[in-house]
Amino acid sequence: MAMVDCPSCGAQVPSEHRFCGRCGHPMKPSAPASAAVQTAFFGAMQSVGKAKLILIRGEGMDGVSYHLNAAEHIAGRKSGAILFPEDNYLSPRHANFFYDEGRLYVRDEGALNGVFIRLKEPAVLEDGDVFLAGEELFRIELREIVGETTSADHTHFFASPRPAAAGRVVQVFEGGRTGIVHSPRDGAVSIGREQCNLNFPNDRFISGRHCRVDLSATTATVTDMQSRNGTYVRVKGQRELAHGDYLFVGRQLLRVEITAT
Amino acid sequence: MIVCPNCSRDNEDHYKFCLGCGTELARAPRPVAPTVLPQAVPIKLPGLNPLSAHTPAIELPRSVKPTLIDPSGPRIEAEPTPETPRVDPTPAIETVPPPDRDELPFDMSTDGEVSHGAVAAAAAALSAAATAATASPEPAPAPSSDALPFEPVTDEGLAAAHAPLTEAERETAEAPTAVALGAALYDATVTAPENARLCSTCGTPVPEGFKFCGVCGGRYDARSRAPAAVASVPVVEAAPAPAQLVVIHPDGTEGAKFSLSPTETTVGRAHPSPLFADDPFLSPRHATFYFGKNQLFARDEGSLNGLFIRIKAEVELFHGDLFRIGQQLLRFEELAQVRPVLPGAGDGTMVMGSPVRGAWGRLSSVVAINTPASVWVLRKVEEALGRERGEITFPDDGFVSGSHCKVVTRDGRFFLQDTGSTNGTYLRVKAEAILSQGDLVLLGQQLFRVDLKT
Repeated sequence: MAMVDCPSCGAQVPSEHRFCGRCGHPMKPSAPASAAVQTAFFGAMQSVGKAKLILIRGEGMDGVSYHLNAAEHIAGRKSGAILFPEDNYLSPRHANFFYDEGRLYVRDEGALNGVFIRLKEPAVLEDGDVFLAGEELFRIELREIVGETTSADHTHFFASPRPAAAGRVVQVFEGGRTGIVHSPRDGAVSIGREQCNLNFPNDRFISGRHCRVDLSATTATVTDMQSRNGTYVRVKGQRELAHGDYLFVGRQLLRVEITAT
Repeated sequence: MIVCPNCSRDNEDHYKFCLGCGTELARAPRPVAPTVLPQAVPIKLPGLNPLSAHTPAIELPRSVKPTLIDPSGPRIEAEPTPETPRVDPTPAIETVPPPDRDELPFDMSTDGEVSHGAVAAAAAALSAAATAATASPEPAPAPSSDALPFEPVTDEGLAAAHAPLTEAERETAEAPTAVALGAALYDATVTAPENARLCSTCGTPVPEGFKFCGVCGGRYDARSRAPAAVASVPVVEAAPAPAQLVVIHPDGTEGAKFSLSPTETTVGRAHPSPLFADDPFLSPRHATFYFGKNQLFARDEGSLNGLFIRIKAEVELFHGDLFRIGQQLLRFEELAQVRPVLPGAGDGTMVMGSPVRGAWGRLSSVVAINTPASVWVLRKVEEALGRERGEITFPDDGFVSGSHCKVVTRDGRFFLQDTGSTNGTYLRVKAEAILSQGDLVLLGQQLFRVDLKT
């Protein structure tokens, strides 16, 4: 059977097909090929793509590659070219990897859990923003805690002293319950496996000293402390990707490789 | 906020003592029962009035606010002479007479360094003058001008009560806990030596150096060595009240006694007794004490702040229980009963987050009505709470002991244990509870001991 290369993703498509079976790109009816000159092609992997996502499994085991040779690539649990049907942390349609003027972007498609990108430099977060360290998910809260201290009959409420600072780091459990809520006196929180303000000795993916958060009245700065597995912040809206970026999409860890310039 | 004059820490308006260093704080004006702070701060010296006439009035240096001392601060009560058998003269309500400021013009002062210590020193001087008539009263812990001003009288006693410590061990011993919630209680697990000093009220061993029983708070009397001795003391009572509540002052001394009716007594801010009427932390109808089946019950009348009883050994904890250590109000939650705050998507997507990894509960510090602030996750079989030691620490709260209490899970149930804290662990009564002799009850801002007359 005569095969032609898909102009979008480079996949081998039988010449009589009207659409690429890999990316769905319409195929132009090919001119009758001269069998003598046609060179057979070893496969899509060999094609010089623009970018690909490599699935990282466990501790750095490279797995499947997803070639990003089309204009858009949907990742999700139920639809899209990058499909993870087993991962319940993915929304049915989760994220879109797309090109705009030759640059690769990722866009959160309104996913419940979002897309997380590994920090290369300290990130400034706002109230409600979330980040990942090891397997632990945290939310930044900068709003002051409000609550009544006197009842309707003018009785004063006996309460614990309020934390000295307004800002706090909130651990979010799987399923959406709140775990640790920590308000640092001096505004700084270190997170790691041991000897930090917040310690997670049973998290295999967290480093001894993993990251730190510096809270001010209006922002929080998250700094990765050269952790082995990195600190990730949730992408808001869309974000341009660079070669070597790491992303969490649900439980899936992906590395971005941009080969074309 | 009240700024501590000793260590400059901010304290909540209702605190009587600084959370950081234990210095007694001036009372901030409160909306419900406004208190006018007198220019000169008198010390309540019931029974010692004649002495005050001979006490030279001294003036405070300008640099020191006279509001340094809570008017309800150190109290010294005159006791009957040692030879006189102790007789309760008034079984009805006896309250410590409010300080008559005109009759007691005892201005606090010294020449140079003025600190809370000066008060205690002056009080001690007074009490020394009154030794003929009093069994040396316990002065309030006297902070020095150092960062950790507390040298509670109980500290050495505690050390002596435990296995003798070497000098080195003594040095490494934890900083003493400020004594806030009544008498420093004796560790009941320590076995009494042969010639033990026994409490004349309840028979508990009282360590050397202690002037009050750790279990019932009764004053230790060297002559009556055991409860048997007490039995022989004639007790004269006109109309015996079945029980009374005895105010326990922050320094461990007894204060006013409030007799309970044989049927039922409802206390609260609406109660005419000044013991309750002036306390903005009491609801108008706060709690009812009543007798049933020969037992004394305490019922929470849906009050805002509730009734807290000091736990002995171990109590079971249930989802939503509140307890107090030091100045902390903590709420226990069973994790399985905590509702998620983040909604799912309804399309089968699970909310991502940290693995629960065997966590079984949460503790929250409650900073306003139904408002938690800090939250700790309980994961180990035993989670210890303390000022310095344990999984959950309160380094800023001078009234929490170095090691204070534990929250424990066992067979799918949950328990709260006091681990020999100085100021105790108090559990809020749900609906109602049976009270026993010597129980310590937090009611509003005051601590009471339950005395049953059986």
